[in-house]
Amino acid sequence: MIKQRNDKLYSYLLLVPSFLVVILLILIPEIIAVILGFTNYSPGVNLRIVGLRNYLTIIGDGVFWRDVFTNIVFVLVSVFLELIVGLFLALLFAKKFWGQKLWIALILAPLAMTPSASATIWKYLLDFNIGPVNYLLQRFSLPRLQWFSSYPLALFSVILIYVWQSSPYVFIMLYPVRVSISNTIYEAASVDGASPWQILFSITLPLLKPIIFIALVYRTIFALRAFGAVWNLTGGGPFRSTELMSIYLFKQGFVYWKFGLAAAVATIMLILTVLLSKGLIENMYRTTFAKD
Amino acid sequence: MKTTQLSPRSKKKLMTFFRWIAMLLMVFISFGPILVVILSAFKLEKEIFTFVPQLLFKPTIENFRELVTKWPDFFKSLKNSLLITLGTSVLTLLLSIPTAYAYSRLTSKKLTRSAILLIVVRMFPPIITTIPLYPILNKIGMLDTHIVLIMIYTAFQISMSVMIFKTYIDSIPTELEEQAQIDGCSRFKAFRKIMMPLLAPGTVTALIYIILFSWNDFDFAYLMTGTATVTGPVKIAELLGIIGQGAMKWGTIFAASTIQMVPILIIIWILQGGIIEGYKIGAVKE
Repeated sequence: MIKQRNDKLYSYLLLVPSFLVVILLILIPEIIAVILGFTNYSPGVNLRIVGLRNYLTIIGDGVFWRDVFTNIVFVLVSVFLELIVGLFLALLFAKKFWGQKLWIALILAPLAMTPSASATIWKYLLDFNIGPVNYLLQRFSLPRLQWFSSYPLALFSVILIYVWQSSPYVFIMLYPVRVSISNTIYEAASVDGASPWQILFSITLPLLKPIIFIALVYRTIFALRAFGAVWNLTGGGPFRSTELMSIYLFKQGFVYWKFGLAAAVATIMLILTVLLSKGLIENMYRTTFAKD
Repeated sequence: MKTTQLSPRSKKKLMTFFRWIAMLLMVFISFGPILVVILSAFKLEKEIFTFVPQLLFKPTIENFRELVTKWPDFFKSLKNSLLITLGTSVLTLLLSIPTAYAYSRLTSKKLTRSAILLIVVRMFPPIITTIPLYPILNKIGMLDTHIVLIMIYTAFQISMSVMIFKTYIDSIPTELEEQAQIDGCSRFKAFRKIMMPLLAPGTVTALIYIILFSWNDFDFAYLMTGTATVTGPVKIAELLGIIGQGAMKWGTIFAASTIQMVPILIIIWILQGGIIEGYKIGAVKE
């Protein structure tokens, strides 16, 4: 009895500091942000509740809808490509190569790039005048391309670079699951005369389906909030053609100082994220914490 | 058709050949761009722009010398990054290990539900927190301080760290600790003497993600730092922003990027088992 009561006391003692930090720096700010979305909050202006005016302003802003559309294209295309590349890598590395560890390290390298370093790399490689890629195009008698300053090519470049940087995340999600599939299943299928395609579609993919789904949700959530990766490359341009919701939020808040408006955009992003991540949260809780 | 039929052995050899080609191609796409920049950091400006890609060149440290003499601020920003990364690592471990221990060994079913909050806040888009935090921190004069970034990074890293440590602690049998307690150790001493050494692999796994995040984060650092605390990633963005305006050379910024990314590349190489393991535990268990 005493031990149990002690346990309870201990656990509060051990949990409280973590919760304090998380509540103070994430939960409360997010709640305040949602509330600010209903105010005219801006430095130097008297704080007033304005009801839904921010939301009406946003809904009436053509730029916002254009950014939403850009964001949807960005999320759909980049997540789709990430999944294809990540899956391909996971299947490729399922059979060991000589020097496996080094090759995997090189595959993972883009994930260790800070957005500004990766922007340095690509702004150089794809530079209109001095970039090696345009040089190669010219070499093959093709026209030089304005990779970052023409529409819609800029969006395409930004998406490809984002995919380059985030595909390794899909790989590290799928790879361990693929490796954990017992070889005997494959041997049996082989003996029965199944073709590689049959094996892929009736054994590997069905077994990977749950993790592919998790990766899909996970990457969608992250693509939805992408900021630095795009901001460093184009700043949202040219002509706002690579402007995502996060950049719209950033500009409203930190450039025009309309924090109320920015907060309303933030709330929209928050709602989308919560809707998307519900299943993931339940899954993480069930697999890691739940006591039966 | 008969003539194109291959023997099973040569068919297998051909498959292996194609697998290698595919793998090397993927490695080239992933790492090639990074390698170009690292190599170019050791080239003279005129060599960077000779278009026939030169693999053989006389390496020079001219760009690094230029970085040191003309842009010493960059090294200050790396120092800030290092300080913030260390601070975040220590604080996150200090907070998340006890919490993970409580979830693994102590909490009741009811109290365990509180973990949902830890997971939920982690999913929230970080940029949203900056909207109220920025004016508040500005008002209390803490905007341009190291501790603020350390606290924010810690808040966003705790959840994954707790999940990683809980999984590792779960795998250590309770009997070990109980035995130590019977032998007269206090609960804390038993934890320190018995559990801590066994948690070393878990610590490595957790640390990789903490380091990766706090060393590389751009979004928070961009908004929350000023002249005193600007971090490496923000400084590189700054340098990149003034490229082509005369004073800034590509070679210099390649040198800066190289210095920022090589340590993390080495970590990725050495500790890649931890990267894969960490994501498996902390993000995507089925």
